[in-house]
Amino acid sequence: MKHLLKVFLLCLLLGTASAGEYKIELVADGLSYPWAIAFLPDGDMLVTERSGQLRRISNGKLQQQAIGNLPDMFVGGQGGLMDIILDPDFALNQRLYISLSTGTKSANSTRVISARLIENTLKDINIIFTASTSKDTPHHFGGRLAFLPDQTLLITVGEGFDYREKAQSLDNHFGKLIRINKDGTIPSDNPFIGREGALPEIWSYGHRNPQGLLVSADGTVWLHEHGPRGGDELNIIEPGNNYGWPAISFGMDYSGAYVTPYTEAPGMQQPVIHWTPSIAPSGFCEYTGAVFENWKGNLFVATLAEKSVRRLVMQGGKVASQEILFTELDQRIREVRASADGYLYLLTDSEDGQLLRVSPSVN
Amino acid sequence: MKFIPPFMHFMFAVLTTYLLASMVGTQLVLADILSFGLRVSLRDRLLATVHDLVGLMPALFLLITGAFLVAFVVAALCRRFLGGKQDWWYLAAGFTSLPAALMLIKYFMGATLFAAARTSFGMLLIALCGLAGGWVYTRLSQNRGV
Repeated sequence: MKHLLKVFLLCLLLGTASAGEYKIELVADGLSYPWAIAFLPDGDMLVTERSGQLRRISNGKLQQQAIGNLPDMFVGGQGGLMDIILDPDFALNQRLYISLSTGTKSANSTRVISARLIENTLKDINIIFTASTSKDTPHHFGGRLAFLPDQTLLITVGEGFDYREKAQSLDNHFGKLIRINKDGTIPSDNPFIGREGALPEIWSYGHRNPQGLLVSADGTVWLHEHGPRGGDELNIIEPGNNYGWPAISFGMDYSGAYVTPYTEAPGMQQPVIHWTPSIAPSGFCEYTGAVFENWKGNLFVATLAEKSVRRLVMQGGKVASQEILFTELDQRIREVRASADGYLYLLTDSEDGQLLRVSPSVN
Repeated sequence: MKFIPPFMHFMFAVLTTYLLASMVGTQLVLADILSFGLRVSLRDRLLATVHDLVGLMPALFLLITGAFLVAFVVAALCRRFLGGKQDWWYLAAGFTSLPAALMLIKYFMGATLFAAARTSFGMLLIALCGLAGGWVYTRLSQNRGV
């Protein structure tokens, strides 16, 4: 009965949403804080739940049995099961990459594993990255994953909230973008290889809590990150660059004090744009499909605080305009992904999270 | 100070700790900025200090008020039932109240909301600011003959 009521309410909502150029359909609900989506070649979808389950959606239906054999993880605060992406050669090797938090409440960190998906079970699991220093806060894990065109893996790691100054030192993983090979080894052309005191897997630094990572069709690496009170940032990442946190920021501390009085400094990169007040950006994708002709080439940013998806119209590496979408849902949106067939999928962030599909209102 | 009502003694103590803790917090944050290789001018330092005195007012002032309220009631009860000098109880209450409150917040929220208290050194300085508040309270109360 409760389920029927939810479907009915969503249908009412669709009336409003359909007034525009799209409609929103419920694909699955009852997901516990869903975090990320991966599209399998056979049309199935995998959805991570922050509470520690990996779920499969097959023929548009959420399978009751979760994917088995996930490793132990730390679930608490913002930590748990996070991102999932497929190996670029998934069709050949069935390998996928998953970020999660590991450890305990008093000593936890961000970890990435690779595993093969055989039927409904993970097999051949390898730990390919664990952030070097553990922390005693259950916040700011980062945890987004993306492959570069050369098949090296990028991993975002947050600065752990209480450890923000460490984002400026290269001897730890807090507040860093990491680049490793698929087997966990370090690519020989990483920018800090050979620098004394620097960890060789670091690709860029000075980040806060990056929860959006995208390698766009033209090879540009985009990263967005949560600011504190204001100062959410969209950055274009170049290897070796310092993105400034917490030496420069457009945000204030939650206490009302300065994190820093400075918004720029020599040797530190400026964001492409910053969102102040905060929208709390989370998922990220580029739309390259053919279903929404007007959206082609646009970037989409899911937001938690604004309860929306921002459509960014790009021009020459800059944001020409922004449109705020899907506020009619009145839901924190954790993830936005475009499927190969051109539809947009959203994950809402709640204990009873939903997977929603956005399609044109008129065929 | 007989003309000052007891409630005002308490508020003077809170205000003293607030002013000191806010200023200490700003200087610790600016010390971090210096460590990143940025130059912090005297003007920037003064402006940041004033900014934080205003910006921290709602959160930190309330936190100190709550922490002192609990700590001073406990100090009064301890003095009553355990004996000893009033001054020592209130000094101890001032010294321990803010670290206790900040640790409780961290336990429940998983984060230290007042950035200065993230290190042991910062926490010690904040405790000393609380000690100063406790001292102000004992001075004012003694002069009134409480």
